Amino acid sequence: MKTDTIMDAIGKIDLKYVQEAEEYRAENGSAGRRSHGSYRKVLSIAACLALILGAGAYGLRYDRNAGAGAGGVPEEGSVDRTGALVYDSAAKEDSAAESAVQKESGEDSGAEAFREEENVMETGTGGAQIYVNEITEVARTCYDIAGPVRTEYYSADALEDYYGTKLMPQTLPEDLRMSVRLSETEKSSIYQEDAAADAGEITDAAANAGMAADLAENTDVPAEALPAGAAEESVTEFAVGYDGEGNVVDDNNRLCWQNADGTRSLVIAAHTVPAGEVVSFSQKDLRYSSIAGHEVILTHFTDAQEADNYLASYVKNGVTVTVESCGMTQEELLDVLEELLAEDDSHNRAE
Amino acid sequence: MEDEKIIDLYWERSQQAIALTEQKYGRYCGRIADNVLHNREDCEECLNDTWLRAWNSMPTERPTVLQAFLGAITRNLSLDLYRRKHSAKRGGGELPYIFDELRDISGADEMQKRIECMELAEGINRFLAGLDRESRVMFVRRYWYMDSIAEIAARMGCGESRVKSCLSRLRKRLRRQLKGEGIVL
Repeated sequence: MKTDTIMDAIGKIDLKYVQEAEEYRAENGSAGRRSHGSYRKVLSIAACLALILGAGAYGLRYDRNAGAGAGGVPEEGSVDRTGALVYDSAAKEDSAAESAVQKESGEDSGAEAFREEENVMETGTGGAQIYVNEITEVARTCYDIAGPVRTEYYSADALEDYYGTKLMPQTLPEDLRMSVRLSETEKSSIYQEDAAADAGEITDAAANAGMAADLAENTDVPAEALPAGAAEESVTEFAVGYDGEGNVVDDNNRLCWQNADGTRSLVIAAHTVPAGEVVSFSQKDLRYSSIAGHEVILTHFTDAQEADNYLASYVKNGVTVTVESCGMTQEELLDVLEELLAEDDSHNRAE
Repeated sequence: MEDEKIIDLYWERSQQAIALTEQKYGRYCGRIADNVLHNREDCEECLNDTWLRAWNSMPTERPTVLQAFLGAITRNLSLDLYRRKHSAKRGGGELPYIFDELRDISGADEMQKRIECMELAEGINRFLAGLDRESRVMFVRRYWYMDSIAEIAARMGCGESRVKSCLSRLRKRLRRQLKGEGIVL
């Protein structure tokens, strides 16, 4: 049977289930909005393919150390902290760009002017050099891997030690709270139920070599793989999967924060090996920012609800980190990035 | 306006029905289309076709749940458009992953089609009827609405790892149930 047939059949299910799924929200009220906001949907392509971002990516050079607050006139070609674009008058040819310079605010108008000019980003002048790439689409790659043989579970705090890099910023806006996490007790019961079911199935299907192999390959982690005393722990949401030789096969984890009504959110994801959904960028069209001595790709787009969405990606100590925000200001996001990247990494990365 | 009144407008052949439908369910249907197509122009085309198909189906049809009825139209149109545009290979969005996941149920690609689509749909309905509410919502959000894992986790108020493991179990259970009912996969 083709998967197309199954997809079509699912489309014909009783509509009361469709309606139920639309109306359902978790009782804790933490699902008022999708975790990444209702921003424009991401693209995913088949595994192992490079991604292409929307054409016409352009950027707005932004020097956080310049501006009136720093006591000086922003250098030509830079942007002060309000987002206004200051141009070298000699480079201006378009009157629209000139009017953008005269506006006190208006990142959008500044971005449009910058796009027309397509100025090359100047080399760093010290401190943070911020370059926000305006994009229309975000793409992700899904790496489909075999299930781990062994899984270790971590709390959010312990996860930082595992990765050896800071992932939990202290500079978050006060209205953002970390999302509700799965209790270990519940996870234990799920795996125990599954282990019993799978044991029976494998026995019944022993005569069918093909089916048994399929089931064996897809068997969930058995309950005994959970750490001892796991049921007593209340917050161990995050998992790292290992193969039979002790190599990490899946350590892709996300930490999520959002405000009460779900209109603002922050997701920080990290991995050392590609597994599950990961974000990658084409370096031909995007320009790097420099924050605390680290290269960061910083992008911005506006979703269907006109909310500002930022997506930043960097590699630190061998860990690929993506920081996604919805509804947060650029300033708030940059504060988070500066803290994450300025960390001395006193965490001891778990091997 | 209540759905009953909107449906009455369709039956009365009042074009106000379309405007009200678009106003009330445009965003809902747009999300469904976007989950499949990830292209603004294609989504708009799908939505326009949805309103046209709704217009053509009512009267004769009198859906009990208008929202889901419209969503189903949009989903079918979106999938048709997606297949036309990606006939050679799987393209963007969650669909490549979802198709891969559904292979857990269908088995290998080379297995041939053995049953009618509606018979399979009835089997899936029986499967969904036997699930707890949370599991059913997860399944429908993933394979009907084509939400991402992250979106489902946010809606359910749980972690993504739980969503992934739950969906994996549900696929296996569905396969076992269909086999038990004599539906050859």
